[in-house]
Amino acid sequence: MTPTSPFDHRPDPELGEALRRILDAGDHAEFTRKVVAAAEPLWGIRTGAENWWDVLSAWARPAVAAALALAAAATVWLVAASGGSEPEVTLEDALRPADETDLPAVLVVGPSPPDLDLILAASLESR
Amino acid sequence: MWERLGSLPRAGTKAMSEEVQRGLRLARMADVRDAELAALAQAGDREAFGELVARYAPQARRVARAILGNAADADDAAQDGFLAALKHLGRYDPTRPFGPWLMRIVANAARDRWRRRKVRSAEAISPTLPAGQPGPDRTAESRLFDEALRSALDRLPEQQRLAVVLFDVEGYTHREIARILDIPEGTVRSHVFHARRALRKALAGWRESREDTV
Repeated sequence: MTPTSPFDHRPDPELGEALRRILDAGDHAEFTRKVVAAAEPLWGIRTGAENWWDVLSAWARPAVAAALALAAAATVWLVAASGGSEPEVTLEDALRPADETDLPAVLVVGPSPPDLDLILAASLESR
Repeated sequence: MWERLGSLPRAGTKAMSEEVQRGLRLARMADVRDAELAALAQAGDREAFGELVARYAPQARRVARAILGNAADADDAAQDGFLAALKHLGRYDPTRPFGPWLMRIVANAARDRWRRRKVRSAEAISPTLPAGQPGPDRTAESRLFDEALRSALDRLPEQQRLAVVLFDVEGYTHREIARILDIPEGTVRSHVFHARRALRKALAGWRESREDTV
């Protein structure tokens, strides 16, 4: 056992051998057999008991969550996609005087919003 | 990994007994790396797990004994550690060495057992580690030396004891020991230094007292 400094990064083989001698229990093969035998019930838990139904039920909750998330994402995407196909109305169109627009006068002139019947009639007339 | 095992010589002839086939398979297992064995064990290969236990049994038992002192308790703790490792093999990172990962689990299992034993406190804890069975070639002098070393080791704080055993006996690096004990690397260096100094001091004192008596 040679003297070492705190910065010595080499193991001390003499001390190591002496410590190994007092800590070694012996008959590792018997110990190994004992551990492998003790592990036997665990294999059933890890593999045997896990049939396809167990696997499916284990995945059920995350699968439902994933399906809901996918459905929500698809809905958002569809709404965005359908909204994009509508003709865009620019600010200039909105601010244009009533007589310069393509819309029927009944829809843009008046203090209150037009009635639904008026809108339908105007759209049919324009066709 | 599977290809590697498959490419190894196969023992498929009917004339060959199952025992020989098993022996050959175990011989092939000896060439397989720890991470590969861990993956095989995780997939349900009992022999791969058995090979891992055989590889690390001496080390795990020593580490557990460094914490618990009692050989029987240490074996129980080492077994607990192996079984816990088997349960949690999915958490093992195969890019890292298997030994430190396993030793951390074994050390924790030994600490748990020590705490339970302390709580029970029904059985008296021996102040020193019990002596192993002396071999026929062991002289009385070396037995006394071992007892002195055992006593000195037992007097060390647990972390110093573990650090010096993992460093000088098991050959782990300071960094690996830091990971096993979950303490800074500098603390490991300090523990190893203080443990060595205490052990040497105790053994020097023992030698002096022996010389005085002779």
